[in-house]
Amino acid sequence: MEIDADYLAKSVTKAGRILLECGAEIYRVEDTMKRIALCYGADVVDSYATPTLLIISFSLNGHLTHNIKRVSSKTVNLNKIEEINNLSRELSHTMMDLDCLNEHLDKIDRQRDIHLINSILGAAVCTFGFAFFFGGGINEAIFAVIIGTIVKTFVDLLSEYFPSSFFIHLFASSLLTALAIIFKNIIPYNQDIVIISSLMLLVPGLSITNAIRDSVRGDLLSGLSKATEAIFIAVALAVGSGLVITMLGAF
Amino acid sequence: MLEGFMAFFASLGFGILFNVPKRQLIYVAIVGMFGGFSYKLLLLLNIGDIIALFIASSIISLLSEILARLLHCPTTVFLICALVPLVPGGGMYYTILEIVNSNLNEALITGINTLAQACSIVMGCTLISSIFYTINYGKNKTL
Repeated sequence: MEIDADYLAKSVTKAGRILLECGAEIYRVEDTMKRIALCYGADVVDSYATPTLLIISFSLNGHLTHNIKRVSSKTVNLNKIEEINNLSRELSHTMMDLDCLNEHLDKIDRQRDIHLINSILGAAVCTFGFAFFFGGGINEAIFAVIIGTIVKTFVDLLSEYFPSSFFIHLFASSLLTALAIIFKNIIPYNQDIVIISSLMLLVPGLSITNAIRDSVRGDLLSGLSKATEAIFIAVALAVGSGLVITMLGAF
Repeated sequence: MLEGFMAFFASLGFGILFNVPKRQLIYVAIVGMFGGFSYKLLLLLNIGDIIALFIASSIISLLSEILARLLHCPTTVFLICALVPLVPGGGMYYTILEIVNSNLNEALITGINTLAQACSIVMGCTLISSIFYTINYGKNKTL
């Protein structure tokens, strides 16, 4: 079976792009791209990935082929990562037609990201757990859930129009602090616990975890950039809630 | 100590938010619960905050790596959602609160403590990840 090198390069980068967009670690992206290329008989395969760039280079039938892909969008979708992982494992057991592989990849790529309803549900469950985890009672839990769902909806809607995650997190943390201070005047509760529980929703957990795992594997460039992202978001959260406490502190 | 069990819901919520596959959702929550529970338990035993976080994050990483191999699923799926409840969001908030109230001394103490907590989580996670990476290294050398 003759395989078109360009077609293979495009398929390989598509798999890498989906993984990177959904928040996979760097070594998983590089490894998957390499494995797929090797499965189709390429040799001298080299793949390189950073959080924003993919490079693949291999030689097939004596011809050297390269492909570069710039990746930008940032969502977290662990479901897609798992499916590509399964696809790659399947590929190493049974040979699959390149067209068939592309169809599978397109199918995974077309999957919708999380629905707004699910996202609100997740935020509610999450803040409910945190309120108790940080030592609150039922009053704190109720208000944490209310504020958490409002803030999550706000973040989801805003992130469609706003590219800067710094501003989104700044606004979101000021909003949740303001809401917590305002609601306290209706029913008294421990304001600190409510703010912390809903603040945890916005904590950059993915960036922190990926920064650690990338650094361990020796992808220091990616590890550093993920760590920087995490620090940026943490600063935005701190500044946002600090500003509002300063302004509304008298209440 | 029962507070620790509530990390179950926190991890479950993050699992829903990050679109974890439905089959793995319950495992994610259980790993998170183990982490939260062991953290609170260690605090109760008067072990310092920093050591407690280190041990709890090691337990979470270990469980994630084992489950990933049992269920044939990327480790990150478990690790990300389970590790989030341990992130010192509270320390961050109290640091800001002290700065706003212009208690700079208190702010410095809380801030350094928070930083140390974050570092200990990173250390615990790094330790276990490195061990499993070393084990895997020989297997994948041919690639």
